[in-house]
Amino acid sequence: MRAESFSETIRERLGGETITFCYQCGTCASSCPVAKRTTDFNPREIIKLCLLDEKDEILDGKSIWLCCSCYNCQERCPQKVEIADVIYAVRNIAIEKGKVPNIYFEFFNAISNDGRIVKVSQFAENKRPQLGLPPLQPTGVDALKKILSTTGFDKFHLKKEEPQ
Amino acid sequence: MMSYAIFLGCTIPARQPNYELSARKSLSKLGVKLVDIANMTCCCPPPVQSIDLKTSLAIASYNICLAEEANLDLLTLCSGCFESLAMANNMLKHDQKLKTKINKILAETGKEFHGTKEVKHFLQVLKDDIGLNQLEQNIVKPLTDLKIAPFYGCHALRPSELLQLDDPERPQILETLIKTLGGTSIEYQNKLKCCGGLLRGVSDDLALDLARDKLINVSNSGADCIATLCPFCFVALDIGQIQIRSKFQEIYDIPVLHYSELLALALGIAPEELAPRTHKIRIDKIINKIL
Amino acid sequence: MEVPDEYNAKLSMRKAVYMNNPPVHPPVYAIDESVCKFHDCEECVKACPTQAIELDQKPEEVTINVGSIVVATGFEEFDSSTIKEYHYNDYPDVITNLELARMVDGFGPTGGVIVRPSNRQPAKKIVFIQCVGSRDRRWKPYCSSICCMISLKHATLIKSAYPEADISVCYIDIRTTGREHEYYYEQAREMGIKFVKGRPTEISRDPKTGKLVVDTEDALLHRLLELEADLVVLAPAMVPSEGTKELAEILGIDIDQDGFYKEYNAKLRPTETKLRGIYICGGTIFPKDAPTTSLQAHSAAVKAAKFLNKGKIIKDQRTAVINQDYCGDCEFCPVTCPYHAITLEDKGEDHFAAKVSDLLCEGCGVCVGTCPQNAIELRHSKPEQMTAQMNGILSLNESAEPLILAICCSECGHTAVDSSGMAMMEYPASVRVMKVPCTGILQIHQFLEAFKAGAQGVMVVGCKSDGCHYEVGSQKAEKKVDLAKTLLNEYGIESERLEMFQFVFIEGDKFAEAAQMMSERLKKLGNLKLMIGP
Ligand code: SF4
Ligand code: SF4
Repeated sequence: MRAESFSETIRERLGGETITFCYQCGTCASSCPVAKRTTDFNPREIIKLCLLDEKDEILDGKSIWLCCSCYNCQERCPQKVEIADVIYAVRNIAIEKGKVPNIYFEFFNAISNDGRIVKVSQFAENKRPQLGLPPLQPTGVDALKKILSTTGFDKFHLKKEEPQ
Repeated sequence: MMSYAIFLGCTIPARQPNYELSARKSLSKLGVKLVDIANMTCCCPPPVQSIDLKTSLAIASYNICLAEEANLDLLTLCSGCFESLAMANNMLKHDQKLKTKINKILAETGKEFHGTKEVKHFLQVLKDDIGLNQLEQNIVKPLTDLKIAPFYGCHALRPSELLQLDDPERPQILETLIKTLGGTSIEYQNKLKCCGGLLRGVSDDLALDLARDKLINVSNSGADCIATLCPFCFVALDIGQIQIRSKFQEIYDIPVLHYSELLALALGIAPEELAPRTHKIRIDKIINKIL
Repeated sequence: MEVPDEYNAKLSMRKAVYMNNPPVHPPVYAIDESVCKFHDCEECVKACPTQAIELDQKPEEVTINVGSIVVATGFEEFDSSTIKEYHYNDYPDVITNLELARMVDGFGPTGGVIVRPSNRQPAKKIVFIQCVGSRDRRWKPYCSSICCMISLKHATLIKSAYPEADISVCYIDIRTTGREHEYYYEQAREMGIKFVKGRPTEISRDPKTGKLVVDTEDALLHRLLELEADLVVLAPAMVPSEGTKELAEILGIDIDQDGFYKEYNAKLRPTETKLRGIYICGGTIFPKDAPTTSLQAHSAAVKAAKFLNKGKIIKDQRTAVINQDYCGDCEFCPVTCPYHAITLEDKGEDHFAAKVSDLLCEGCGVCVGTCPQNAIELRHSKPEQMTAQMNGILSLNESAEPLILAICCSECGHTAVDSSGMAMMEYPASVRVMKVPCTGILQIHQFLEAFKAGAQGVMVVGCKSDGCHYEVGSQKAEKKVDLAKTLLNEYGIESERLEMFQFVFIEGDKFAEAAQMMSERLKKLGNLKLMIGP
């Protein structure tokens, strides 16, 4: 069987389905607040590189991590490419391959330990009655752990950390 | 009595009692009951979606299942929570295949997603469920003379196909709600552009650049303050001003208030009850104008 | 009374009594009901030297008997204000190509001067934006095909009249496919018109100066640009003119996925519709340039003339007939007939019976396959003829291979068989071909008859679902085959013995392959055991 190309891998993934609609009009680039600020990032180029199967350049580079998920591009793309979602799909692939920016380890640890990505400190919890807020309900960490192990997300921390 | 399951998320209980207090107190004044449901988890916003989209959808749907079990619609304050949950809710409602896939994962937790409930943004509850009339009748301290720059942020509006809060190019809901409080809604350049909040920690320089753009545009418009909906925008623009002061030696001194805070003040709730010290940029001058 | 003149893009005024479009023929004035003061004024009545004006005229409906119809209702501009980020209707200096055309016209409202509508000052910096609504899956997914040329024409005309004008064109792809069209593009570049490869995300306006800024990427430069402009010209998609859909319903002709009229055959009968006597041409089929439109107009006119000149319609009798005594008045066939050839005839006492118009019937037999009462037959393909044909070709099998009946439609199905023969492709000799007008004629009991007559397997071979020569026949057959499979299972016959195939006429190879596959499959299944008799 023919090996699946990088762009096909993306298209098969949740979020990546629409990538081949792109005809490189650049609407996304001019919509993107990040691209406006730095030449390190351009959504149109990311899509093009993916479509040309430039896997290493995409997965090893830092550009895919610069998207701020504002969905401006996706809203205006005339081909209905779900650009921000495509970028999630590519990030998901990068993470599976162990190419993880440090901050994502923090997110991961927080979510699997506390069920939240931002920890609520004991101090903040204690202060609630004083402020007139009801006590916080417990988080569903158990259910969450079950989900993580079903999808294999909990293996994430085993992946080797790439130097940034 | 109108009831909703409230979804607090993480950032609000961790850092922004001002948001939670003002929202809870205003809603109770307006006759809305909020139910705190146990065992809610993360809404799985973009950073988690970046790690794995499927897992994120499953976790988000798990929260919706809890609301379905309680037979309540979910009310969200944070735009990030709104986006993640409303997106999951609508994706699963409209995509049978995806629903089956996610339900397979949820089965491990004994839950099943049915798609019977709505995920509502705080603003939708105010405008559509409570109604502008009802709101207006309860106002005791109208925000006359207050020029407010509405800021939607990104995730309340986009992707609009799934969120359906308002027209993504010409939204009006926040402006309307500001006017209902008696305030003046001010137009400014690039109103709908991102504040850079989600880039904090990934690329702080970029994040600050975007926040600075926003502040420049608002200050050119002559607004007295910014009304936000999202704790991340709040951080980007409030604490952001302190950071911009040290990095660019620029002082904007524009108070940033959540819409809920403006609402609470207009409803006559005492400022001391609203944890005003959460703000890094003091809001005294705004409070003084209202009182 | 004066109101802004729509024809001149509201750049000038017109009176309540006006000529909509000066070059029209015959040159006749009209009165705008919405602004005329009628008997409170009567100035025009007094002024007209020939007393041609009657203010009390009422709209009337006129019935005209005609022998043929040519539909040439054209196209119109997509409403650019739909794309909110471009602020058409919102910023006065954002206009469309059609509006610009009035300014480019030396006899137009500005005398050929290109101005900013907001202040009537000459526009020095002009930006064109291509594909506004076209090639946009949110609105019109197709390429409107002529807008690149329109913008190139306007840009070059303006540049030659005002060489100092700074003109940029933002494009996704420039499409210049017609004769000499590429030379236009060449000329435009020579003249110094700038081309920016990028579809702008939005147009914004400086609230103080009123200057427009077009926010775009140049993908070739890998650079984001903010183009200042006095005037932005949008090149909107071309869409079917208002009322196209309603007219199609009235006439009974088809429209395509994009809302334009559908021709009978895009390659061979491009100005005909599925109804004889009704022709289409020009932009109503798809946006096109003037030469092609004129070519099509000629074609449609000649076709209509030829149709009328005969003075009569010659039609063979290969049509359906209904035995009205059997008709159960169920109304299935009038709905199913792709040509609207069947109507219900009032038989009195609340009783109706279906009747076929020989003129409209194309003889496909889709009605035959639909009628639950067996009240319909084709004159040229009666049920008993079909049964006899089937029995005849299945009566003998001298090979060891399983006997297969391939029921092929007379269009793609049978032609595919022919093409396999012409290409000398091989398929088992035990595959027997039976030709029917269209697979839509088939009834479920006929599949069972085939097995009874000795077939080990049955192939139904029709056109592609969306390419059926009789519109819906192949689709109907597909459904019936599905249903028959369920029935076969009930009878204890393996449903794999029956299969529907849909080919394009040239796919002889596919037919041969399918026949081979069926033969192999039947060999594996072994002999069919039919319990006939007591
Ligand atoms: S806007 Fe859409 S079609 Fe255009 S370049 Fe970006 S992804 Fe591709
Ligand atoms: S979602 Fe990402 S790529 Fe798209 S505009 Fe926002 S930052 Fe740019």
